[in-house]
Amino acid sequence: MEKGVITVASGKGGTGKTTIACCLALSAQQPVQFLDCDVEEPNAHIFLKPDWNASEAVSLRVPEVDYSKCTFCGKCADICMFNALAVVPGQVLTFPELCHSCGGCWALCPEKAIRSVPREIGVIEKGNARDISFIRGKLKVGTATSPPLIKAVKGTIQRESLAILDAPPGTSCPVVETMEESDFILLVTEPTVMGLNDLSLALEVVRLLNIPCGVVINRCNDVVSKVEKFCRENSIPVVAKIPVNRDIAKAYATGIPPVKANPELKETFTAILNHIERVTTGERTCCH
Amino acid sequence: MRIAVSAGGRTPDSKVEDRFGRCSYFVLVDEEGNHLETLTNTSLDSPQGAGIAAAQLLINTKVDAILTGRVGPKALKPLQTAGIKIYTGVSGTVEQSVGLFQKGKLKEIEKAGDTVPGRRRAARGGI
Amino acid sequence: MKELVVISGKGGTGKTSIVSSFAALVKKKVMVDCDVDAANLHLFLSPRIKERHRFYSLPKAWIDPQKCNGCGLCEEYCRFDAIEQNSVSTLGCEGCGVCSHVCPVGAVEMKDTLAGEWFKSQTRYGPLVHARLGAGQENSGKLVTLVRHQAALTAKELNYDLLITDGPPGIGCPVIASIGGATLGLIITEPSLSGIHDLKRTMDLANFFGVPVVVCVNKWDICPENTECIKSICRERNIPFAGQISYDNMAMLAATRGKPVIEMPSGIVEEIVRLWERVFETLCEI
Repeated sequence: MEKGVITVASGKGGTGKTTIACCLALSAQQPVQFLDCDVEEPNAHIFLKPDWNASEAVSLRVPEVDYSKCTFCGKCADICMFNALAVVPGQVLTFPELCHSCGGCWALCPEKAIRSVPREIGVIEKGNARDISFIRGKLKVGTATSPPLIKAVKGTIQRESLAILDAPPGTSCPVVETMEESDFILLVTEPTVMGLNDLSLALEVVRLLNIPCGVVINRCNDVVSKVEKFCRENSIPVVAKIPVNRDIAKAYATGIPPVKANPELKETFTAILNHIERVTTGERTCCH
Repeated sequence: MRIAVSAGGRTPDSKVEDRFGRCSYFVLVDEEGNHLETLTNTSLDSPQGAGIAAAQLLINTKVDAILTGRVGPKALKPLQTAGIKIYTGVSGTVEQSVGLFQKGKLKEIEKAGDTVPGRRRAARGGI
Repeated sequence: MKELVVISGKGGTGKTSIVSSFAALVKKKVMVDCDVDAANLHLFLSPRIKERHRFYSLPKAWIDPQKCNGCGLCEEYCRFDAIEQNSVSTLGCEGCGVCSHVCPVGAVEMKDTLAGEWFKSQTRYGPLVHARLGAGQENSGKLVTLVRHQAALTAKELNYDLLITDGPPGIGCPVIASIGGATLGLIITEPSLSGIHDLKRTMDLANFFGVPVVVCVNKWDICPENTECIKSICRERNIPFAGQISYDNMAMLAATRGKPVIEMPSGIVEEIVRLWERVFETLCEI
């Protein structure tokens, strides 16, 4: 697959999303960008083992008060929906870790007594693992909001090549931020009641975004699961089924990506990439 | 002196509510226990910073002291900066807690770490 | 009242499976599912919903086309790219309200947004309080806080002294909202490098918020070397090791059928019972 943006996501955590995203990157047979967007708990580096070569802080703008102009009118605290400001006689207290950087306080202060200053919310780290250009975001512990950092990580995407994004688990706004503007969303699930439940939640988000998708069922056994039936009934392509395998589990536990432990698996991942290429360059089919 | 007590109801016979930022009402009394007014805690539903918003509410109405169960570290900042005395570990009804305050039986917190008396804390410091 | 919150940092360590087994083992408690983004506990407990409530997040902006004069000031001021052509995208809107303040003609209204639902249910193992956050909604922790609060009220009504909470994954606001003020945190981890990486961040988080924790390694025999590594991390940080549970295909089968492992014929049932006994002992000491 030549170019495009593939996001690997899953409603439920722990289905193998990161592992599968890494295997895809390793099977690409071309230079590829890998973006670890799970900024709260980035893990992909464990499998891809990049040589780190760059790091930059990412900041959000937060308020700072100019006391030569402030009259302590309290309007800034009044309008802040995130309670990131409190006005006491003679002082304005700011809580930058709660600030969502909406700009309301500095835009609306009647005395123009507030300016915006940068506050670090995390870092973007870059490295290389052979043909893989690795980028990840790491959120500073205690920070209220991760989408701005995810946005910054996605800012490094080079649209002329292939980019694979490892999304955070779940279906709330950090996941939406990661998925937005992707060409294809690969949903990873498992054949348990949890896998099925969370797959249907993830699909709701995918439908909101109107992006083509496919499902990988990880840790399958021989039985045709409810998950498979669900996908069939809802016309969602099951792009791959990866069997449960204790050796792969052990390899994963020690940071060895399944395609390295079991080279036959590379075929499975090449097939997934081919499917995605057909869908994104040919007729765009959405999940109904 | 204006004393605010975090409460589950509007009157002095209401139960004290444990969490400062998420209580339903603040019942204001004077040091003799006379009921002055009751404020509704409008920020009870805030996704975040509820304690800060509650602190702002009480600072705006010029409260001198607060009786409550526990206060988070963020809300402590504005309260202490404004010079409001904070008494935690309080339970029972509003009336009962004011009674204990009058007898000098309530402990004022000194610093951020003292939020909940008797709670076991991890040995290591913060990050 | 005591509250045990079970967290994992990394997803997929088996947290919910173990919590569902606790539900079967323990009497007189209220079960709480705080993983509102991808709630799973109910799948093992077959709840009968008794109460259903709507949950509203921060109000979101809506532009009244009748009043709007097309000046575009709102779009200029919106730092979340949520306004385009005088129309607000509810998915992108953060609810800051700046647009409503700058609009010269008062065309922007902040409207209550239905973000999810929460429930009080009855199960064969007692009461369960749980919730469902709508797709793409912000998970600030507000719904988590609400669910915990409601569970505490339920326990008081029934005169129960114990809450067992299934926590969310990660280290962000939802987890912070689930552990603040809890009596004890039980971290369920797995013997993988990813698991160890996330375990440390989770321990840091619990420490930051002053919540004592104990650790259990699930599927420990997949990699005994990593299990030993986890045990030494616990020793270094003075954190009690509460137990380990072996890998058993039965657990996967149980999860496929939506049954707590305790209800299946499996060797790990005893290990889970022992884990609960250790955890309960610790809870009583606090």
